[in-house]
Amino acid sequence: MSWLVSDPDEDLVQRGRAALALARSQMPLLDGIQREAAESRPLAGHRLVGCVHLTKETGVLVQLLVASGAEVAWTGGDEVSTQDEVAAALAVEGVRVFGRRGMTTAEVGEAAAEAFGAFSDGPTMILDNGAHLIEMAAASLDRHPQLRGATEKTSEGSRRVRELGATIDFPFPVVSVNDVVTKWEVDNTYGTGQSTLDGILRATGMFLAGKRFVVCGFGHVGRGVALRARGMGARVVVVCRSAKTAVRARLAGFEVLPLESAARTADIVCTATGRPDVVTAEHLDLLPSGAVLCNTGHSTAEINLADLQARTVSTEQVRPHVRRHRLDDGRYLDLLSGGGLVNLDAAEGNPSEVMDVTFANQALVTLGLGGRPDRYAAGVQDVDAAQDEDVARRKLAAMGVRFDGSDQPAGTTRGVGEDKSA
Amino acid sequence: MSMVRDLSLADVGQLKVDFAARRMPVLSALVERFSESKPFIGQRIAACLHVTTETANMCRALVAGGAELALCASNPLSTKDDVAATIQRDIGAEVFAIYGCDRETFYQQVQGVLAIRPTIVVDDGADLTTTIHNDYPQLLDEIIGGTEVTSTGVLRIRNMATDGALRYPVLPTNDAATKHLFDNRYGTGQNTIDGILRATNVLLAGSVFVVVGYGWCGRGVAMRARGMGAKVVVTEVDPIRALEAKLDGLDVMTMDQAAAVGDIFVTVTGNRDAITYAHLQQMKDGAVVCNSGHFDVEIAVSELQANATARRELRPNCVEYKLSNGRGVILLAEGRLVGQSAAEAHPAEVMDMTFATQALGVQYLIENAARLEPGIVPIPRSIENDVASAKLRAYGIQIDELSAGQQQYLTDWRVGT
Repeated sequence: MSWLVSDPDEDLVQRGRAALALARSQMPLLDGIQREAAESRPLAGHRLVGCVHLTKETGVLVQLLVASGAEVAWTGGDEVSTQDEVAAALAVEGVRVFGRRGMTTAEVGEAAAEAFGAFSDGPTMILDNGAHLIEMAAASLDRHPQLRGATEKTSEGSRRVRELGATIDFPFPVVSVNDVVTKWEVDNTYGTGQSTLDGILRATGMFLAGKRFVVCGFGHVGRGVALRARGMGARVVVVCRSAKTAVRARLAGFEVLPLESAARTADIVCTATGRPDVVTAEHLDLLPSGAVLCNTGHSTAEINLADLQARTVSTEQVRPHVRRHRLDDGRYLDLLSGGGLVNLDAAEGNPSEVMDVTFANQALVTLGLGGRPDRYAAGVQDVDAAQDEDVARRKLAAMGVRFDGSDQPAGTTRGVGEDKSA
Repeated sequence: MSMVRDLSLADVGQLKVDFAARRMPVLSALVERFSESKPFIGQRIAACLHVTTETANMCRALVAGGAELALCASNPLSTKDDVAATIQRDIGAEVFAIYGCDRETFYQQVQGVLAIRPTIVVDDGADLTTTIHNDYPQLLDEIIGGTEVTSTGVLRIRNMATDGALRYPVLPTNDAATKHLFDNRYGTGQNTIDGILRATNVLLAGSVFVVVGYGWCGRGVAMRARGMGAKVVVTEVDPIRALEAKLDGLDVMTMDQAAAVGDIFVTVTGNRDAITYAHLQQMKDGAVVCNSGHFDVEIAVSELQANATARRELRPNCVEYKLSNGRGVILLAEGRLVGQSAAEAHPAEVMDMTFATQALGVQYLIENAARLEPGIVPIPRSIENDVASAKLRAYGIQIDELSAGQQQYLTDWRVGT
């Protein structure tokens, strides 16, 4: 059978249209880029395959790509995040959407393969989130000489793309849209910083003022979580492994401690490192009874769940996202969202206006790959500083903020891309 | 004769109440103390409060102390039906509270509570106090005294006292430092932000966040909004508070000026008409407007509803009204308390202090009934110190004591330059 969405229910389509309109009203950057691209149609003649969680915000990105002249095939690349009403609304606009909410992992792969093969002449452009499609392309480059470019949005996918690029010569540009100030500053730091606190509040309803809040990791996400936790009145302790990161955290006014010291008095431990086994047996043994454990890093392995399970004599679900583990020594620990992403599970992930900026980056690269292919060389690369500045200017304009470079032409002011080390 | 949605919800409610109890060490200690000393034997308490997990724990303390207790909701939208069920079934109070009930049922619930013929009135917003004085004066003879927990309610009862209408002594729990410094500032501060996030999921970082009123609640909301990365603007009518906001590093302007620049507005004035229909018309398209003051009179909601050209529910507790100027205003929780409606009322740790203060206040009223006159009774300092010390003990924090020399210095007028 095919995972192609066809003849969707009219009621579903209507709800999808309403959801897309709501998201669009909070996404001024994509809306503006779409209006420009609908004139110049830089993707005319292109066949684009995308694999990004099919939320209402992603739906606005898809509409932009269609308005830019592309034929579009799409899949969510995930078991549960596809919003069927959004899929329905896009399907009637001519987008070939594959998949639905509630698929098995194997079915997610089937739907992605179908999307990749949706065009008889093959895709010319790839827009990716997690490098699923780029991996498919890398495995069949000889059969896809028509490919002109690809973009990848996540840290994890960008790492994978660089690995691939080390052994394969991509004959077209593969652009990582992750390592850009306007992506990580808005999305990772402020978006995830807020949604992590939001997730902890929704899951527990706990009072944060005065709490000992331990943040493991002080990268873009960890810094955002630490800032917001402090903003809610928590007493924040930062745990990290890099000396440069530790000095940055200390000079930002945070207490820096080894986890084995911080764990002894922690009320909340939140991992945001991107590494496995941050909180392990030795730390679990030190935590005071009643401590809350949660994770906002990419993988569920940051808190070693096997170590936690080994000490657990019984568990109970005390609130929807709170599982209380009673330990063999009489203490209990509250694990949020099963150690998965607390910001996505207990809260709602990034707000529309955050996805607006993230997708604006990915959309502009994609439009550039279509309209100005000479701008990018073949092979794996990052977004250039000029586009980063363009997105920053668009965001400022949308917020109604003027700065000293507002009246100067783009590219002549100090580029935000220079601040990568910040 | 109780009124709850469904008693079978009590199992779920009980789990939540126990979860909250873990974070209420001061009140939990009082439950133990009262179970032994039984200070409330023979007392009939009528309470009108938000029916939440934290209220349930205060009910536990009062019942443990021997009181006969009846409880109704102070706001139909803040009632948690599962909690109401467990208070009725497991804690043993008569409960009259159903989420989202209409106005008529709401007043039936107040009547239900008064059927207990109270000796003590525990109030939140002074609705019970004013209803008794206006409609049930026959109950007044048996009432020893009452407590009132909110700023708004205390103001109403002060006005009653000034008019000579107040017929029993009332302890204004809100005046206790252990209440307003913590509950109003940190409690309302956190749960207003929590309510806005749950209702809208908007990004606060970089937004222009207008706090209307800089009392204890306003100070807390402004502090937390800034902590979430917002650019905070304060509007005030009181010159001292406006100056305080300015020196706290916030922008101060008139409501007319703020209306045009704000992305998010929160009213915390305790007064009516803080945001008028004229202000709503000046706002940017998509501006979010909500209230964290006690009553739903701070925003011109009915005028907005009457004049809107279209109404669209975007999310739960989040409705967009289209104005004739083509712009949309997004109103949260119908202009009622956004934290209580869209989030979960105050966190247990804060209500721990508020309700411990309240419960000790009830004990004080009973012990001093013979000498207390009708009117507002000052909160004894001993209650505040008792609660604050217990909270510090729970945190494991020790503090210094004045030395003999320091004590003498403070009382000696002869030492100077």
